[in-house]
Amino acid sequence: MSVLSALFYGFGIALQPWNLLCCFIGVFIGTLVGVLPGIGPAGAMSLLLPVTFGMSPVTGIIMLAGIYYGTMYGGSTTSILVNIPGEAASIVTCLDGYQMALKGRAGPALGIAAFGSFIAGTIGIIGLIFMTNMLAEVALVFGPTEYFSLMCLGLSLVTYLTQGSILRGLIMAGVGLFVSQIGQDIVTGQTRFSFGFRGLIDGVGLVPVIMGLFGISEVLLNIETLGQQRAIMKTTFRHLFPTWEDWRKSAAPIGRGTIIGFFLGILPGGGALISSFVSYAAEKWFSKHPGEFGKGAIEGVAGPESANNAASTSGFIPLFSLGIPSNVIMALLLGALMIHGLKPGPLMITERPDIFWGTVASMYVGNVMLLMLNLPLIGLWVQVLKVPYRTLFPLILLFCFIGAYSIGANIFDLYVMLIFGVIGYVLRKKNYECAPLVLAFVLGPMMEKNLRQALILFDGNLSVFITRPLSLAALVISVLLLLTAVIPFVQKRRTKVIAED
Amino acid sequence: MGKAMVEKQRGMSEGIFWVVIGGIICTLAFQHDLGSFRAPGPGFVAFLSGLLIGGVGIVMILSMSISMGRAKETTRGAGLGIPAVSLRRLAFTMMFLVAYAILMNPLGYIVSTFLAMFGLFFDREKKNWFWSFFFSVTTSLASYLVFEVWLHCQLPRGILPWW
Repeated sequence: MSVLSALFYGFGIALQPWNLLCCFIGVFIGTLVGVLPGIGPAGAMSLLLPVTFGMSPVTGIIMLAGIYYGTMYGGSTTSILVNIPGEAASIVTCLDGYQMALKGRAGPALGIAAFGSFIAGTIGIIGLIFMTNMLAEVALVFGPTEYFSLMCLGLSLVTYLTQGSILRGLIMAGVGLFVSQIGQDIVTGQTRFSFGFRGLIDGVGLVPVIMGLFGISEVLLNIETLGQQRAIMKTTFRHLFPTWEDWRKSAAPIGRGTIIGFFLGILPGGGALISSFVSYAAEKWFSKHPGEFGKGAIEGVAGPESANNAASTSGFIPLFSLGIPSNVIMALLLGALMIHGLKPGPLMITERPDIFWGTVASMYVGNVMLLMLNLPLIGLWVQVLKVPYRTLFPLILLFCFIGAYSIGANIFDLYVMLIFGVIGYVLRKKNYECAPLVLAFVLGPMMEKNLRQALILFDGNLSVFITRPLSLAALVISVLLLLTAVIPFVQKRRTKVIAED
Repeated sequence: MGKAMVEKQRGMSEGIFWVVIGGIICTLAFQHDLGSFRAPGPGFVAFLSGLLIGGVGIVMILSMSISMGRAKETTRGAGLGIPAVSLRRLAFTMMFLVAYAILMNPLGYIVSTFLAMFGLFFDREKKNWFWSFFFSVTTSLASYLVFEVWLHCQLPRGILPWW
């Protein structure tokens, strides 16, 4: 099947009425989640994961993917109007977006964010199609050693790029790896680390863990500042469309943001957040008037917003081609695919073309929907922002409870979620990032399987990990990254970059 | 005692905590059979995770004892620093959440959700009885309709088996 005919096949799936409706629900909820500070894409996707069980796998993935890129769109609204990022990838949009709003140019800021996101998302999808196919063909020759080393690299990159100390990131990865070991052993079937709890025999569920770490702990953190009012810009939206001058200034930043976002999104740990910061730094560097940045430069909105959307699209490449998630959201999607009985990896594109091409085509459809949702409905999103957190947080908690319970109709999952909620709260108060924990938790069983397979296959010979070129390269990069924790100069530089971010 | 010294001690305690956790994990993994490199057992990867945690904990302790500068890194994370008012809110919220989890099966989804939502919506400063009641009834019924009736999620019925 050629790429073009495969894409038509994908559109045939994506444009089926039920898939179209689910895509719309996904992008609508995603935008809502992006607008509302306090619940992120991971929480929203975990929440809707049980809902997808009754759907076909492709419909479920279309909806979950819609939430993800919908969040990227929606996040910019709060950044521009309230100076509060709806989700992490929109932090940088606050810098110039809010300043533009203060100058009465909220409309063009929101407009260029939406158009830039659309353009980047569309180009990102084209890149996704070609890169995934290419990488999937290469990945067919990978063995357990390569997979294990690539997962180590992914984990190291995520740890390296987390805010704060690398040591803390490593500890979180270790904790996630241990939690993933709870339950039955994949080889012997022996129950391990269940501490006598029947609910732990099958292991700890992904959804309760994510709901706890990202949903409950986020609410607990926000409750501390309950009562603080958000100041929302009083602005009219008569001039949402950017002027020709705005377009002239934004064209190159959108192009650069798309390229930066696309390639950084493929890297494990890269994702939307990093790419938006890199794009902002690049625009400042390219600009003839860098002094205008931070004071309402439209390039500071166009570049990062395009970058985070391109990155959210290209993040699907390692998932679909290698079966390795590059960030927490992709880890969640991997979990969803596995729950539906699918095994993402190089063979998925040929074995289940409906999933791959259906999702890809739905992303394009979703991007069009988002453009139509974001511009005319900005007034509605602003009203949503006015809902006080006191009213919002019980609803978020309720959704977390329903999400965690309905996975297995098991009360034990609620206890697990609450425990991880408290753990997540304490960890975040102590400046520990939860992302490496979740990624290690998801990658844990795969890492274990590949490590044990490799060791059994090569008669316990550890040198196999360094005699195979790709495995060696991945491990060397991992070690070099982690060694930076003990090199004061590099660590200072990294801390400075993350602090600037 | 200087502030830097207090921070340094906190960093050391953090390191010691993770060394202990790593040690516990290694012990547990050992009990579940580590196997060998030729045939790794069920505790093999868990043992590696314990080693990683414990090892990083040791590096934390060493870096704290060697460098005073590193101690500054822990400033932001030192202590939970929760004001008394927030602590009360947190305690109430957690209490309602735990009670909600415990009561969901015996009382059923609708009743337990109503009680939990009433507690969470209720503003102890404004004493908004009516609005709390209204919101909790609406939320319980609307979520029941969406998740149980429309999306066919299996929610517990408890004392209202006909629902």
